[in-house]
Amino acid sequence: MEGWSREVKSVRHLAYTAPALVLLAVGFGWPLVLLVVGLGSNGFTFPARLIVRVEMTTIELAITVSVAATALATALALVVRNLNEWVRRTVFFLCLFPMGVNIAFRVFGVQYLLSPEGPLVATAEALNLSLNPGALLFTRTATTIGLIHWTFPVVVPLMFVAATRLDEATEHAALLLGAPQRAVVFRVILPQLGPAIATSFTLSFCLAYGSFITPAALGGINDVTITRLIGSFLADGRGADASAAAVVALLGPTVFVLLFWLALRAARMSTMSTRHLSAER
Amino acid sequence: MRSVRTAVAIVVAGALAAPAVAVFPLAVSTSRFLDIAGFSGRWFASAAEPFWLKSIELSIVLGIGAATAACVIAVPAAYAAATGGSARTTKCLDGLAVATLVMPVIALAVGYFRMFGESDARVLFLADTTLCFAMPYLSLRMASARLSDAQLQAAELLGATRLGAMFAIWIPNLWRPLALGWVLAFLTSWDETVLSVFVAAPGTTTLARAIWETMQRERDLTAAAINALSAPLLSTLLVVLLGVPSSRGSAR
Repeated sequence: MEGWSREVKSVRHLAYTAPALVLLAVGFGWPLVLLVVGLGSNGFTFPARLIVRVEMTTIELAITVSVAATALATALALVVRNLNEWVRRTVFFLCLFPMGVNIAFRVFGVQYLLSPEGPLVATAEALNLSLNPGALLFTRTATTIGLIHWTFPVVVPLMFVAATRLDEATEHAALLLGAPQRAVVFRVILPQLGPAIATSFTLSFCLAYGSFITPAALGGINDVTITRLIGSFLADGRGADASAAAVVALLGPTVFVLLFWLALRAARMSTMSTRHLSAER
Repeated sequence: MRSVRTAVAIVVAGALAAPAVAVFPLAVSTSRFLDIAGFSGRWFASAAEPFWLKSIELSIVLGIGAATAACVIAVPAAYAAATGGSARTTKCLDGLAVATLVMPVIALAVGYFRMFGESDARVLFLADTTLCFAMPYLSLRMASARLSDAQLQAAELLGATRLGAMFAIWIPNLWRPLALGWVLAFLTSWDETVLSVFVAAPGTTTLARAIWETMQRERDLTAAAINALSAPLLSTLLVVLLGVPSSRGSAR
């Protein structure tokens, strides 16, 4: 009887999850399988060193963006955590406002800000600064700025939530014991934010790595990313080359997420063994 | 000290939002280029032209359709995971949902192109629903982990069916994460440019594709006017549902 009810239960659960499994198999798994399977039969024509160079550029860019976006989100979350409700609301709304604007337009917003007619150049001229923000357009810096602008609203809620869950008692205890502010930040606050920082870094890395619109609108000819390369292959009708480059493009986030998962697992194991040891003592 | 922190926070958040805030002055500019000159409502009038109306209509239909379909599929899957479903299936679904978030969409676009060639709105609907699925699913998974299952157990003891308990207890308790998942899913579809540029046939133009192609080729600021109207609504909806994280607890 118990075996029968367990069987009924598992059939019910399968009925609940089957639509999701079918959707993900057809809409996600199958297109990716086709990419990999078709790779052997269709020869690609671009040199391997090109893809290595492009992949390295993409990874460098994604790492820069994820470090900057995570650092900014962490700093902002820590700065606002004890401020007035209306300040936190205003800052949070400002951070999330870009999500309501199409990314296809936001990249042109970055172009406008950096353009010779834009407000940054006007401000630099008014202040007699030697900076020329206009020179940043269509360079890696412009792409980096555009990608930080894109990934920041995605990671900011993660850091805001993590900052509100900080254990203030430990922080106060450290201060009462005479620890300097810097030590409190690096030895009390940041370790508590570790999982959120790691998640934010991984998420922004994957988003920046896979972004097409921002590098295509803001990047120059010397910093072609893997997604731009695929886009140009598709636009030229080079399907086999696009497939091969797309398979390479899948490797970046896969390896990165795998490393993140392994690090998280190792951290959990170490916490568990520490708890086990202290329980034994 | 507090006022300095307030000023720093507002300046940093404002600077990072500036490219999006630029839609407002650009929407009323008389210039055809990315330049603010004079004051005019011409781009708002231009937004009512059939080309733009058609693309807005397609994006709204796709967004609502894909977000709703993603929620309809994600709710039972998240419910099964929360109420003791197979651990292997749950892990598989969690992994696939995260994978749809982190994989480059352009790689998926190449796969879709190999599968379907140049396609119509139905293929975009499938692709958007797939990409949207993670939003309600992960939102519900996270929220249901914090939900006490005492009510579900009580309902089951009183003779409620699993399906009945899902509709009568689980969904009403989790309406906010579900609504947040729906809005995030709608925004995912609304913002999806890569698939519509590379997979959709020329006649199937979503708003994101129309903006991308028009801004590249023609320097037409109608896109700024459309975004100036839609962005405050979408952003406010998102912030209201997400809630400002409070030190008294998690997101309210």
